[in-house]
Amino acid sequence: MDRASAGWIALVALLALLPFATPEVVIVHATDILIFSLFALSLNLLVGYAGMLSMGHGAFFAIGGYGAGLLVKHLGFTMVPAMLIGPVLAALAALVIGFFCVRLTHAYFIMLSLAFGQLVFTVIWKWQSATGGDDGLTGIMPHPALAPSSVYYHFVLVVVVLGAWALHRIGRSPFGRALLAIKDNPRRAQSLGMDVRRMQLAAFVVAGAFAGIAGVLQVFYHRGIFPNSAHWLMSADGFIAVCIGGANFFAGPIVGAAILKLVGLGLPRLTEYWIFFLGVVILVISIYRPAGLLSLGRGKVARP
Amino acid sequence: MTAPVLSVEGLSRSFGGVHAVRDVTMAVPRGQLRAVIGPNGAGKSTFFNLLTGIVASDTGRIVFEGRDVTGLPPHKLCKLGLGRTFQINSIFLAATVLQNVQVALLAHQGRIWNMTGHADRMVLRESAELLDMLGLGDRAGKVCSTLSYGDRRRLEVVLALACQPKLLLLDEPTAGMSLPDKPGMVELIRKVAREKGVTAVLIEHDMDMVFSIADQVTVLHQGAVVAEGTPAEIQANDRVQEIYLGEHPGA
Repeated sequence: MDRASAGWIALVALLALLPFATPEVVIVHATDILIFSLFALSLNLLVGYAGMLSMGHGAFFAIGGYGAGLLVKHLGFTMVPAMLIGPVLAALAALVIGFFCVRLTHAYFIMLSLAFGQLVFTVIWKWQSATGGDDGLTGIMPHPALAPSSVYYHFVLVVVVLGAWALHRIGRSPFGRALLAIKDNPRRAQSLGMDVRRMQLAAFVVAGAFAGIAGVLQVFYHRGIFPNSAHWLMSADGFIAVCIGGANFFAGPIVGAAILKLVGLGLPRLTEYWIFFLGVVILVISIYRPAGLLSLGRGKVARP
Repeated sequence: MTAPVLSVEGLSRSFGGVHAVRDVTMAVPRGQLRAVIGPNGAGKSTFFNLLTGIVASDTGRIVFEGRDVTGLPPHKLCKLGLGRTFQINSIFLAATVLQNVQVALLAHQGRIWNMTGHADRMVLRESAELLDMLGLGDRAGKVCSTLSYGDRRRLEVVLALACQPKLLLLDEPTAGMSLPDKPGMVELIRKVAREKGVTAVLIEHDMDMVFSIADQVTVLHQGAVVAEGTPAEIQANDRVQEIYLGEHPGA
């Protein structure tokens, strides 16, 4: 076994043992970080692999979460089927939104993905009768067996590890390599027979589905979901996590997600102006480590 | 005589008032190495962009292997067996030489949608064969951004060959190469064309190179075909001399 795999197994083992050694508050935050890590990893399939800077990615997290929540609340679904359908709804939404977005590139792609994301946010915000508007969609209970926070934590750990493993497989697959090629040189990719738009759309749908999985984990964990999960700031948070860790490293988004969440927890206790200091941290990283923290100690060109 | 691999009929394209390519007709028989030459602004690049599907034609038809391919996008042309190189190197710089070839081969084999395999372990034998044939075998593990210009130029040809083209379109294959590197590239193209029996059309600036390897030469001037013939015929053609030198030889 190589060092990387050994490291991953050690990390997962450590995380699995966490509830036995730490107070509940740690478990609560660890669950948050795991869910957010999966969201950031799914975004990095677009940012790091395909070179598509989606600012509407939060929408698919929200559609997964709201989709599952609405099925439970209004249609009497139980947790498991709702959890399975949520990501499918996110993928379908990504198919429709992506269909338009992949027609544009660069700044135009960013703006259109942001616009669609805000559209989803606005619908959730305004559709009071169904979504609860800014009061959020609440009372979404997990299956009683998963209700204790340490049990739900283990459940999240399993799903996130499986999701990360799947994304890792996709990243090193011919499809993942093709996305990297498209990011690197779309014109050449096309002249080698790749249908660039279709592949970008596929990446958008796959990433949307995984964001949806993170969304359903969230809704049953918080017993509800709020419109801010669809807001572009959610997408920006994911993007910041990707940049902190490094978009060209598979583990980059995980490292970034953990740091961003931990800083978000710790800094407000120290200072009222914590967002200012968060900005300074991001600024320092982007100036001195533009390829992310994981680029520390690596001289050669990094690839995911 | 068999049907030509490529036949172009009355192809025209203008940009605004400029007739970049006007009424070009030509046929390239199987196995031929055809050069298209012309001074700057003759319409060579536009002609090439028309053939490779980058630019749409105003009028005319492009028939490839008996099939009308006018207006097809580049990725479909590639699937039909049309490989191309770019005048300005167009390779995947962030990847290694080997990964470049692998992704090209996987795309050609239609395995690019595979989401579960391990790409680095696929098509290794075919990749090595291609790289060895073009003399890049010992550089397979290098990241392309660290390659020399000449090696990038070679990789450009490898990528075009990865889709086992029936027709190879070469856009100034020696452009920007240093003088000592050029013969190697000429040799490479000759080898590929002769040994693999690939039909090729190359656009070129370098006259010496053209006359040493082409079977047939087409001369473009102001978007139109002004002469077509063997290298010897073209060299002896007064009109071509005039276009290139701006005066009659001996005048």
